[in-house]
Amino acid sequence: MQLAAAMQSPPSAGSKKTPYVVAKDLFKYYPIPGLGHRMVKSVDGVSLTIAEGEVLGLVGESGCGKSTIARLMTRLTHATNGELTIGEHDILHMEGEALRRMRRVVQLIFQDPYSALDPRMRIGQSMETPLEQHGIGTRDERNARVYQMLEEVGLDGSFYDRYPSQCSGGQLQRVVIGRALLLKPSFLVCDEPTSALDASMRTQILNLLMDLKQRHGLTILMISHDLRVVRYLCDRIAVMYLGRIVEIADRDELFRAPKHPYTKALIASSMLDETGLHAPEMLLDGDLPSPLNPPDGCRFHTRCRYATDRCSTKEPEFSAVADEHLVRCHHWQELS
Amino acid sequence: MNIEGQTHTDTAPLLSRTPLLEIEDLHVSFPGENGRKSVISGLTLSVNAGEVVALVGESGSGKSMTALSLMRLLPPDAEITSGRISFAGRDILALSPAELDALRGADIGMLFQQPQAMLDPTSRVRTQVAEPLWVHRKMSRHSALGRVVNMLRDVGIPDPSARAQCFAHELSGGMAQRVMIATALSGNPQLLIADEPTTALDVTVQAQILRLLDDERRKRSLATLLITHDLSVVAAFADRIAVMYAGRIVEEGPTQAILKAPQHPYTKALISCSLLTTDGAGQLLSIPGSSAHAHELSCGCRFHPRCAIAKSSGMGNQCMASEPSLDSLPEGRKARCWAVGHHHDEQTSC
Repeated sequence: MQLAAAMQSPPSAGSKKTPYVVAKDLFKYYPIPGLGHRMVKSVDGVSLTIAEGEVLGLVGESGCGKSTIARLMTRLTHATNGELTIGEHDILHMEGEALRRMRRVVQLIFQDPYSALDPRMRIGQSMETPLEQHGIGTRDERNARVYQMLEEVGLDGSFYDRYPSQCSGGQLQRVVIGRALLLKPSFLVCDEPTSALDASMRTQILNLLMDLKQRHGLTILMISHDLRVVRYLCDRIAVMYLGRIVEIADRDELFRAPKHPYTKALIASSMLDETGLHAPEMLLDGDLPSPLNPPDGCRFHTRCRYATDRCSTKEPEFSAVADEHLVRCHHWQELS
Repeated sequence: MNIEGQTHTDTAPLLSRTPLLEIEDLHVSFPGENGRKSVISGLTLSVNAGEVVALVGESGSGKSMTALSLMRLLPPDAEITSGRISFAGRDILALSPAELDALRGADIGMLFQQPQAMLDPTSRVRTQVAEPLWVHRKMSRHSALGRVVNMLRDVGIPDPSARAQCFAHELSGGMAQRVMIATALSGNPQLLIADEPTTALDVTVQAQILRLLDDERRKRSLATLLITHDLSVVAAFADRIAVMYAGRIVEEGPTQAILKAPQHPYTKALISCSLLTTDGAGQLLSIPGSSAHAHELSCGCRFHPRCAIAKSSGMGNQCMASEPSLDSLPEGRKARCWAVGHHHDEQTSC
């Protein structure tokens, strides 16, 4: 199966270049009880920007810190250090009422729709609660908006009175997306929105997201480990490894000329075909090292077949391959 | 399959065409609100010695239930209402609990989607990997435990002597799946049932695990029933594919043939979905609706409410009225669709 051949250009045309989300040197360390001062360095100095109306993809293996970024951006957790602004808002230093109002601007779509909805609440109630919390509209207005949103995400009014157990995973993910959009956010963080779904449901949900993005002019951070999804949806892609971004580039540029060995390996393993399985030189060995104790030097050197002495002692800084293409590797020039 | 072309000297392919596992007309149902709810209706499938057969379908299509039926591990309220399952000439449905115990883990190994959840959290890796050896192969505990390190090394676990002392929670997903593979293979089975073995893993690790499974099955000429919803896994690994929809097989045949020229509209749609193919307007091709109520259709093809061909080709009435049979096509392929070379004499009208 040649996945590469089937790719078409996505329906993306956002207004460019006005940074809407700006993250600068974000750090998130989790202390481990009982281990003294040792910390899990989940996000270790991440800087990125997302332009208004842009879809930025964030890819990496589990444990690389991509979901922590989602949690930081939605303020579900505090950053250890760094700066983060979304629009005019300084996200990291908000408190109380300001923080509550900010939540209308930034919404999160979760991976597992089954656990994102209260099993004992009807779908309609689940969707209405955020509106009520934010004091939007009268009861009748809220009700009408929920019905309208159900239609918009491709469901019908009969879902209002259903319980989550009476719906399929794809339908529930539509509910979760609808609930997030009811607050009219401008920035949507999608944390693996399709990885709990079947292939057929996945394309339905991706189509829906793209459609809603265009209709509502959303800015999106799309977190996924599936490069196929990211390739279809995103304008730019950032590749993360052990708490750091190792490469960031325009989507087409990244797939056409990946520079970091890790990016190359990721692309190779997601484009598996009948020949790909037997091209082990493209594939990675081993697992992600523990973020508790990341390797010295380049974090990827323990799994990199091109690593040299320099890689194990000195961590590479970002070098610019092209205008919008940055890579964190000592040897990218020799390797390309 | 091209049986006519064979001569008597052609023994090697003949050998590999002996069915190791045969499922015939299997029906499984659960009690539901209005009578019994069928999850598998008339499944026929065989796996030859040394062959990898992939069972593909959406969640709810009955593929995992098929795997559990084979091991007789169905939930207590599920019932096999009719059908026959034979493994190496033995009728699995007639075995006593003791005979089943002797079969599971010895002749049939099993891999699950969530390796960490399937490993025993309270015992060390080495005990779990060695257990089949003393239970089924009658080895002494001492010599069984002595072999664990080598077995872990064979499945690509770095520092195997240290890992043997670990508990399941100390392993990453990929490591845990390797331990599961070592455990499943330690009884030296003839058949491996792998239920979504890579779905819970990262793409980089997925490729490693598939490579390992592929190496092992070549080394041992191990027959494998691979259950997955991911066609890229199938493309890399399976000899034959059976596509399941709502408890029935809708298409079956050699992997390459099916991926290159799928016959059934469901298979076609599933392939476009996995490839994330877009149409002219830049929309991803998808299958409208869901399979949630397909089991309850009283008549007609179970896929017809979602089928583009049933809607567009003027065949709609036939698709709605009666269910097509699984017809044989050239090159050992089969498809269950009115739009694909069908025989009217076999139809069951309602």
